[in-house]
Amino acid sequence: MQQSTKMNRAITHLFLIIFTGMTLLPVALVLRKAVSPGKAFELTINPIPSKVTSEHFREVIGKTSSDGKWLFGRQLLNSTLIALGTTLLGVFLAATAAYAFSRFRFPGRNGGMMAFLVVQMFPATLLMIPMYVILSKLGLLNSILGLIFVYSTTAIPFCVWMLKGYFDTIPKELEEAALIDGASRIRIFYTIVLPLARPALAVTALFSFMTAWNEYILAATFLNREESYTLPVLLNSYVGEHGSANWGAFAAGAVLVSIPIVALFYALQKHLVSGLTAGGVKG
Amino acid sequence: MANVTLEKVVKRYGDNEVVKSIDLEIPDQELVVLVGPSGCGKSTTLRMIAGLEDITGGEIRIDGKRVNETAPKDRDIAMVFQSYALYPHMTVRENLEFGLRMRRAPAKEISERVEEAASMLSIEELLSRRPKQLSGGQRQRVAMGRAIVRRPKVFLFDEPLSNLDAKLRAQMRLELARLHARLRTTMVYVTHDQVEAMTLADRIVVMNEGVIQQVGSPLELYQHPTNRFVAGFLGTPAMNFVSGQLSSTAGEVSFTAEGLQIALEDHGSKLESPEAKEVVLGVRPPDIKLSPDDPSPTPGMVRAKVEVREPMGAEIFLHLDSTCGALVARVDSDCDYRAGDAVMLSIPNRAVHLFDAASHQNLLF
Amino acid sequence: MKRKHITGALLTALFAGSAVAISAAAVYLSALNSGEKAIIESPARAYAAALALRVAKDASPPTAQTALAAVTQNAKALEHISVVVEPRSTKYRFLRKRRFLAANDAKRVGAVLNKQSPLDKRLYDAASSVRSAGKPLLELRSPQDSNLTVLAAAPVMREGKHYATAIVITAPKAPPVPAPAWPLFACGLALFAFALLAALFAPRLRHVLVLLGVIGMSGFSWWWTSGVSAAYTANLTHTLAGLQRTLGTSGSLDALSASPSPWALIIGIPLALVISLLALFGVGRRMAASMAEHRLAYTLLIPAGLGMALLVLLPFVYGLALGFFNHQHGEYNFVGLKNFVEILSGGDRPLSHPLNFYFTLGVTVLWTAVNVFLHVTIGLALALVLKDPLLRFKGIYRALLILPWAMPNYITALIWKGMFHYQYGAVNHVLEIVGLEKVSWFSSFSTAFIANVTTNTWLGFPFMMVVALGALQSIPGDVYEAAAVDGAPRHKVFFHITLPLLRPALYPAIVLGSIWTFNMFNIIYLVSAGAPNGSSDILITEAYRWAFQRGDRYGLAAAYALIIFVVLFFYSKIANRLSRVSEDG
Repeated sequence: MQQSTKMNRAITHLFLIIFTGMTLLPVALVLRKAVSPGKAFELTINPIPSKVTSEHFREVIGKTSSDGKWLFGRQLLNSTLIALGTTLLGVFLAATAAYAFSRFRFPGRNGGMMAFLVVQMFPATLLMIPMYVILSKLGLLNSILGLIFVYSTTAIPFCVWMLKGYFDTIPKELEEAALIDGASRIRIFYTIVLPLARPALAVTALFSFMTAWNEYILAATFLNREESYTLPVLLNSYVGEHGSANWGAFAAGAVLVSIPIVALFYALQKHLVSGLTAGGVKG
Repeated sequence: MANVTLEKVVKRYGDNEVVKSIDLEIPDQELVVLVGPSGCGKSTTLRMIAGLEDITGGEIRIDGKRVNETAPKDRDIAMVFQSYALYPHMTVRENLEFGLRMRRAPAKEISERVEEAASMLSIEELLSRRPKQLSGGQRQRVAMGRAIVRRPKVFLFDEPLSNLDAKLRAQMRLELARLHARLRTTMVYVTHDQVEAMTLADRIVVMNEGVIQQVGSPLELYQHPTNRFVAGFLGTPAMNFVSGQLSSTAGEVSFTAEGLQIALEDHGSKLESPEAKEVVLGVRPPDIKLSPDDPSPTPGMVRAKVEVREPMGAEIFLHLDSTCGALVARVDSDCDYRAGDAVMLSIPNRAVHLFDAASHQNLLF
Repeated sequence: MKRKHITGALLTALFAGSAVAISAAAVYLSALNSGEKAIIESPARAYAAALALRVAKDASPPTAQTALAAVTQNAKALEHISVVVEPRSTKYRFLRKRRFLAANDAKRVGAVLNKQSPLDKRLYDAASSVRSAGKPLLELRSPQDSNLTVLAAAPVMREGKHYATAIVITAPKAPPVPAPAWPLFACGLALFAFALLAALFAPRLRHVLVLLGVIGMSGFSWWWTSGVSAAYTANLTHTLAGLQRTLGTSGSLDALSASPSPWALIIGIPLALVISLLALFGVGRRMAASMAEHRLAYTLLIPAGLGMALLVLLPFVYGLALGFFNHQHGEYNFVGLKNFVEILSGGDRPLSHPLNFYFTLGVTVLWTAVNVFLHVTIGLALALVLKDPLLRFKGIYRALLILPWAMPNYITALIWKGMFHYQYGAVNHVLEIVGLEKVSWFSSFSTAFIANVTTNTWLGFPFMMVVALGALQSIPGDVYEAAAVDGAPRHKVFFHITLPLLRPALYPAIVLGSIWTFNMFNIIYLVSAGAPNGSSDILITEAYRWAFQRGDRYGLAAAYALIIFVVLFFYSKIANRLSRVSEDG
């Protein structure tokens, strides 16, 4: 009995180690490529680099535009501003709407929630043409603000559903107690509901941030000037259609782009389970 | 300090009338308990007083002022919830302070009042903890403290003790009674537990299906229930009911059921229509008299079999099976009837309650 | 009572006023739009036509340059004007280099068009279109800096053959509005006042009066707008006449008409009537009442609602409408259901053709099913293993296993694209180590599909794992204890206890996951890119290609999007019903 449990344990660990190894391999190869010399991918699965160089990082970070502006800095700033703006705006928009859907029974509630759910099914990639037209009418092409608007609104439906699910689990009595204690509705929202919904807010913020930080197609369409690009657009230019692929620079860029988002993801991941299961996924 | 008046108050959800035109006067300084089975509209009534539910019809006045359109925060009331509704992300102190802060009370006054309430409820040492770190009884105290610091005109309690275990509930009940004696503030208390109602209330309001059945002091209600519902709702074990006929032969009014006949000479004058009619007789368990089995019983006695014996310590509940149905008797603890024993039971004339079988009204009231 | 009366009257008046405002604005704006368009476009066409005519007479570069100078003489608005000569060799495609025959920057004459430069690319594309279509081309664009530009191109014919293309790009300014909008607004206000008075002093007749007012106002706005059209037409005739003199061309130039689109009438007036009818039946009052009652809820919804309306709902509706139009070179033509017919009939392609809709649909469904199945199975399996409270290092495993979720997915896609590279990819390397043949992953459908699925599985299982872990945590332990006491074997415990209890949490995740996968653009687009021959494309990438890579067929792409939407909508409806049934059962 004892023996077989030990065997089982060992098998479980072996399975997990192999599976985890397989999961990490692509990432490891990118890390390897990022520090190995040469532009091409190498035929290997050995994640340990044979020779270490920082040339790719220097190439990516040091990239300048034709008139000598420091591109990477500009693009990093763009990405950061867009991601932060999207997070703030997205969480604000989603939280207010989700609270209304969760707590109030008003005409149009079901219709509205249905609409929020249904628009998710329309392929976002194809909303691009009309979005382009609208943004150009508003004069928001090539601007950080335009992308912030686009990202935060396209992220709304999912965030609203997730937050609404979480708000539903916050007992109504708390708000009633506060109401009797003399707090206004808005006040209750800020002092009672939002602090209690922190896990879900964290997840919402994380998803908004990831959407904005990672998105490529819309950014590539709405931004036409190199200095207004976001990092994903920059990255794609190393392995894009025209010209030969520079996998070394791509890998270095990928590492640079991934580090903040992976760090953020791990910082907030303990909320993932509670935020997700109480919220959107239960819908 | 205020009285609360409900006038023809109605609450409707769509077509569903939950509260059906209630009239109620809650005098200043009294502790009034709204009691009834779940879904009888008692909580809805309380929530209407609090302002948490809109009033469909009628009027509620606090201290003589109409409050139908007044926001809860402006009604000067405090409420204790069944789930306590303590703010989980605040410490006990912050919980207590919250209401006063919202009202922009001066910092000094806030801390004074919090200290005072904390010492009144002996929760001083809990002030820096969070609700999660408290036991059920402690949370209950904090919830009450949160109401007390506000010094409202009216306290509202929505089944505040129902989440506690039996022992703690008895203890908190006592404390509540003390609190009321000390604060002498108008309190409206909702519960489904008739023991709480009986022990706490200055006055009890019994509700059923959105309608007030009877209002009165605990004893009044116990002794003179206006209808079968009130009679059956108050008292443990519940009142026994036996269906039968009322008949009068030669001016003698009597109750007849299968194997049971009780002459009602004492109550004759109260029974307006002495013709034969269907009635329900009610008798409280302690009023049933038992005697050893007798092969030739005197009239008015019924033979019964003890089915279950439930010793409660100071007393014993005997569940009896007789020709006129299942009955419960409460006897002293020295009674030695066992399960399976045959006994003779009798119902004293003066302990009898009589209800109309159709209208359920008390015929002797 | 009195107050209610006034509110009612106010609302009726408001509705009537807004109804008229909408119809008037629709008509007015459409007149403005078509008028401006005509004035902006027509001269460009005239220039192009004149230039083509002159160059055709003598085609040597010096004369072409002279012709160009003559045409551009008085035209300040012309931004770029050139004649592009066609390549002589049609035999060898790589020798076809389009050169400037004439240009307003004389230095460029003779130079080859540089496709990397955006401007040259536009010239090149225009020349291609004109050549293949054999007729003039007109394109309206508002590029990067949102300045409107008009491109007009005309074929230069010599001896009956297409010889070169005359291309004119102008950045014209919109002409001043010939008729102001304020009389319309004034009349709207007057109607508002009229409706208000009618409602207050003739409550019984107010419906009829308001209706009459609305109809009258619509008539007025139509009349006023026709003034706008007339002014534009006059302006246009004048401009073109002047141009004709300058360019010395004879015959009439085909001027675009400047009348408002009939759509404005067809949509605007019924809309106005519907709104007024709603007002008449008291919908407005009831809406206002409920809005007052739920003020806070609506206030909270306004920010998100506005954003959604502008950037999601509006594009959504625009997308729906686009599905009924055909787009070619900047012009939209209403084609009814033609796009849908083309898609749903398979477009005359055999069922096995990668561009046949049903083929793509099949691929999409297969893609979704395989992915979701793998995500759920792997995620659930890992969750079950990691759930064991006695397992050591499970926090580390968990943290490492969710890494793919944290990675930006376009990076993931590109990494995997590299891993599947025939020559350098790690996957082929592994195959070689194992002693197998290298596989050319993107040259057959099945291997390309496998590559896509592998990438997406790697990307997607962590989400399911986290959901399953959360759901497993919420299953009370005593259920397992009870099963253990009952002596149930492990697989039975899994199928009869764990799985049914997980279902409520997994079901929505699966539905959501399948919707995401169905529309998973990045992976297909970046990993296999539809190779070979678009066979591994799913519906959404197919639609994208129609819109952006196969001749700007926006209408067809929108129709695809609509079909995707309908498929997913019914899928989620059915899934919803199924989940309800399974929860009841």
